[in-house]
Amino acid sequence: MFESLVGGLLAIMTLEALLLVLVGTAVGLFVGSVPGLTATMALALLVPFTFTMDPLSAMILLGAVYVSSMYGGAFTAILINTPGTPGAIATALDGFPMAQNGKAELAILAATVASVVGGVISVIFVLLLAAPLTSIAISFGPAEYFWVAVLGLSLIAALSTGSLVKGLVGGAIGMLIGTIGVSTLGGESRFLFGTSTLQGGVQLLVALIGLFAIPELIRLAATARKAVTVDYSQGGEKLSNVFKVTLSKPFNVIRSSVIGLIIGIIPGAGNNVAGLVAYNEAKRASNDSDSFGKGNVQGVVASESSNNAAVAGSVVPLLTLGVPGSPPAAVMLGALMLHGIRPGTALFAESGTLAYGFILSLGVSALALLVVGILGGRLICRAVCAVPLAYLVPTIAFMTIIGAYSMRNSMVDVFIMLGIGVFAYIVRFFGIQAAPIALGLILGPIAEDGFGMAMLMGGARYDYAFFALFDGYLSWILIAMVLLTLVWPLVQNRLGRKRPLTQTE
Amino acid sequence: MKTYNTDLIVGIGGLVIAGVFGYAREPNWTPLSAHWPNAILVFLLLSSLYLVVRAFIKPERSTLFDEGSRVRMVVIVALLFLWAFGVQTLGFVVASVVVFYVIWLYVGRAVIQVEGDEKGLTVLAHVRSLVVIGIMVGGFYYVFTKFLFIPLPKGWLI
Repeated sequence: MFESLVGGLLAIMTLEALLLVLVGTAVGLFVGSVPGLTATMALALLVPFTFTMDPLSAMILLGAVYVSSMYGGAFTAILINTPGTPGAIATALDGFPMAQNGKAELAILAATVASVVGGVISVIFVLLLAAPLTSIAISFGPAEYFWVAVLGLSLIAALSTGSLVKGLVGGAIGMLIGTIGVSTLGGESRFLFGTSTLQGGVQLLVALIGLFAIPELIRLAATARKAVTVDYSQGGEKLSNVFKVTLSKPFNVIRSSVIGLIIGIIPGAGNNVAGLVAYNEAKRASNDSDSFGKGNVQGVVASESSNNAAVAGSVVPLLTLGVPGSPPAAVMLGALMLHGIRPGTALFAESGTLAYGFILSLGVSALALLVVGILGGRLICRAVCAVPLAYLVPTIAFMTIIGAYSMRNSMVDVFIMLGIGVFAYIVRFFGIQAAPIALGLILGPIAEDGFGMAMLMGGARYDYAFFALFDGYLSWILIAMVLLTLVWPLVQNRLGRKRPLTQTE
Repeated sequence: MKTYNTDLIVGIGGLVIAGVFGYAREPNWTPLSAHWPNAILVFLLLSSLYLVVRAFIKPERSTLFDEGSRVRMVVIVALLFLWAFGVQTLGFVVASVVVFYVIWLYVGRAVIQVEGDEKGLTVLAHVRSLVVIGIMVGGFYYVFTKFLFIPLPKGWLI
């Protein structure tokens, strides 16, 4: 192992490899920051360009795009309340309020540092613990998927400002939207309302753009005032302060990174779930949980460190089992096979330099974010703050339309996005926020699939099929976490642990 | 400012949504396809009924659509839908340039009105906006069609 590790390290420390990391980082940053463009699409487009490269160079380029596209989603989430990728949805929950409070630059730089730390921590864990982590991945069955989704859904209780019941209604509406289209288990078309255009269902990113970007757009036009302003009279945000604020709660970063890593390893769960679960845990563990959702930097840190850690996590089953942990990892699997490399348990023994080199390159890509993010992050932040509102509103509208269209090259998606957006804007006044609807939309299908498959398995194993949901120690750990999430605010209130918001939080 | 009983609005809205989705269910669904949406509909129904009951006991009240101008809210929504219809009929480039310019003009005037700037939009500002819009729309059209291979709608024009 040590020999392969050193070989991999030497292979990625060449000028060519570092240039590929920089190019990949720039491409990924662009893709991630445009709502609607996905890492999967960018990787699929880049694969043909890698035909002439050696396998390691190809994987370095693709890995860098994947890593930085996850990070790029934070920019729009913080500056215009629109997650560029589904993974950045939890970033918007605190990032945008921070931007509204004049701390946009701090939010972006904190997201950068958190992404880097999350990326590096996850690479270290993957290098040291690839084999045991793989065994966790394969022990995740349908029941565990169901409980992971329920854990995410329990966040609705935390995200509901005002009435909890209204938050639950929002979550239910999101879950209903998620059922539109062909059922993955039964195969029937559901809720088409007489039109075949809904057969493909509502695309997650299309709905997210509608839920977050359109209400913000309408609000900007209605008030004719910018939501995000930064006062540069005292100079920009000091880097030392950014590091201090971001790493002031080191356990938050480490916990979020580990959550991201583990959820990234589970095939199908994805980094959007990772961000939400990490955010939930950060809020639950905080002494100042009330400030989450109102601009607490630790919320941004939790979300970003975890969604970047999920990237390295998703390559674990890819390399060790040949099972991709996410759609972008599936494209990378295709790229590996096109280069004649067959992932699996033998890969580390037969092509150790390639396997370790690729994993290490993800760490280098994460470090590259530090340079690109600190320079580019400041520039983008200042540019967005300097753009006059008359340009900002139509530009956001333009990006939302082109982003929704590009998901499936369909204008139907544009109309769905606008419809959901106007709906989200209206119901916000009634006390239903966009976040619970988005949670229902993201986690509903995961919960349904997990529940349905667990019931099928339970029917064969037990007298009562639902016993399958309580089968296995992982299910019980997740159930305990769900209960803890629901009960913890009450316990906190009872213990009187609340304290006033400090400046660094 | 006038306040409204939002519990009643959400409760009735939830019942309507549950009704619409409930009506759209089909009897030939297998249990695998039916259980999950049925469970959500029951949950939505119960939550909505709870809100309706609460609306008559201890309602939550708040003002509605009180941020900025309601006219601008309606106009911007109309322009967004117009943009989408325009892309489908006129084509991506033409519709985008036209609606982008209209929104720029509309929001620009609103900002002047809100901030009380007496200078207004100069001819130079109009020219500059058209150049910026042309570069932006043209640039994205080029990148999407040539590099990303996403064919943008052409409509009657381009």
